[in-house]
Amino acid sequence: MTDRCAVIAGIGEVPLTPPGSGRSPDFMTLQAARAACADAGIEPSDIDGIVKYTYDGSLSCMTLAATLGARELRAQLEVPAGGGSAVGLIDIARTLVLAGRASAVLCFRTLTGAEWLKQMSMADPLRPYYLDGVNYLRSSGWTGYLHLFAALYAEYAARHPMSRDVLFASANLMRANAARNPEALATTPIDRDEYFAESARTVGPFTRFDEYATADLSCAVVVTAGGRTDRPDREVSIVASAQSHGPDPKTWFDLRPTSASYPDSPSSYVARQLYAESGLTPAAIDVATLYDCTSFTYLDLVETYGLCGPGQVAELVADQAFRADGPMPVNPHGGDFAGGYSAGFRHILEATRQLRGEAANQVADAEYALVAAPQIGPTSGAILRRSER
Amino acid sequence: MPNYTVLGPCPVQGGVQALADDFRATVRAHRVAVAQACGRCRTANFPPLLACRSCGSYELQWISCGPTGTIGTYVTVHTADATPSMSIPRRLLDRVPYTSIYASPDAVPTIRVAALMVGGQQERLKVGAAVTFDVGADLQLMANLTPEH
Repeated sequence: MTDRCAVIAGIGEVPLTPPGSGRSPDFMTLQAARAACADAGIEPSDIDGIVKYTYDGSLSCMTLAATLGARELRAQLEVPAGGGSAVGLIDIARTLVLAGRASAVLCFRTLTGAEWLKQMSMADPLRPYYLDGVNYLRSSGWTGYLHLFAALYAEYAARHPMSRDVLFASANLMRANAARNPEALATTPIDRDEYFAESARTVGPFTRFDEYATADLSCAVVVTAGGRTDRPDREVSIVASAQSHGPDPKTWFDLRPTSASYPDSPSSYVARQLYAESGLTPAAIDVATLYDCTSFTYLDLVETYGLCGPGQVAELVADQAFRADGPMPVNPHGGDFAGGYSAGFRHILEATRQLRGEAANQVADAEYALVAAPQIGPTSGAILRRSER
Repeated sequence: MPNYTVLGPCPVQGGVQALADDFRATVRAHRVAVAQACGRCRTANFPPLLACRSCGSYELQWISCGPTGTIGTYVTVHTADATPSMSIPRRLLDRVPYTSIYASPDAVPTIRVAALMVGGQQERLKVGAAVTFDVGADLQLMANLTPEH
């Protein structure tokens, strides 16, 4: 590793709203990208690298670079890992910066409602491999991403304390965090009778209250070398970042339930890499922003990343440990679950705000933040650190 | 050790969609739980790939996974009234509640196959339960709890 350090120099987004706002995803992307550059104190024309999710229906890298007036786009990449791409974008941006192949790399994610689901499952001659889910899982009743996390729940609950009561408390805990974040979408407590009504059940342990809040949003991050901006005190260091497809790679995300690798997963491999690279232990983490498409998804990640021992996460939920003022703050902004679904990318913005001391639901004196993408398919994670003040 | 029965060759040169078509043809011909194994090192795989992930061989075979298995995980679909993020296969809409079963065949415990379960037995489902496999006229792989469960 070199002495150079890559940092999150700027973050930006457009106002997050419920779906159906009618706003153009193209224009939202452009606005978020410019906001991130302004936050970093650099000119949009200085952007010389762009990394995006493959399954993002807004602007291509080259379109965005041309529109920003980039003087020379030196690197452009797409990461096709679904929600697992979230921190992968930052990992790649960091790698480009450390290698000297780009100096200001823009990463972004734009979503308009649930449009991404259509984008990921439509027939596409350029990526026929998605059909492995159709060919081998659909006939036995595959319904979509909820199936992945319901299958994971069953594996977990067969071994450790876990129940629908825990999920009910988990969903309300995220809503309680969201209630302290003015822009979050789902902030009112869920009624117990409504939650446990048979008519609310959907897939596996889940109800219609256990799915993320859908939003129209666009958010962007600029990664540069440390010390480049005029406000180094607001730079957030990427002290470790990693991607992994885990111990039993499959040809498509949806196939994960056909793996018997539990409790190992792509995320457990990323966790090991992050702690090895940083030299830190989970005890150093002051705040975690963990992928949370369902009320269970992030609970499994709490254990996978060693923030508690195996089988202990239900107790943490009961103790309300994940509040900003709790012993282990997780998703203080309410996460994607209650805040609005960003395929996990807004977790990077929230972690950055926490380490700058600029968050709506601020964790006191946070020095290290863990950011993690989901445990299925190729995934990613990072440990971030606030600047020395 | 795997204890499977070889059903025939599994050609891979046609690519992934031809492989899937051949998989379905093999299910149709033999009416058993089908997976893939390497003709050289015997490593089993499901879903199938274009080469053995263990030794790299292209000499692959379709195998029968035998009549019994153990549930690794499962997902019950409780409602035909899907949320926007759910897409229930149309032909299963009138079979709700149904369960997707991911089971390790006893003859090939290193893999999991995907099967469908319906009926009252779903109330007794648990990870680790024993199932029997059955392929009906519609070529769907069904899993049923064995009587002791």
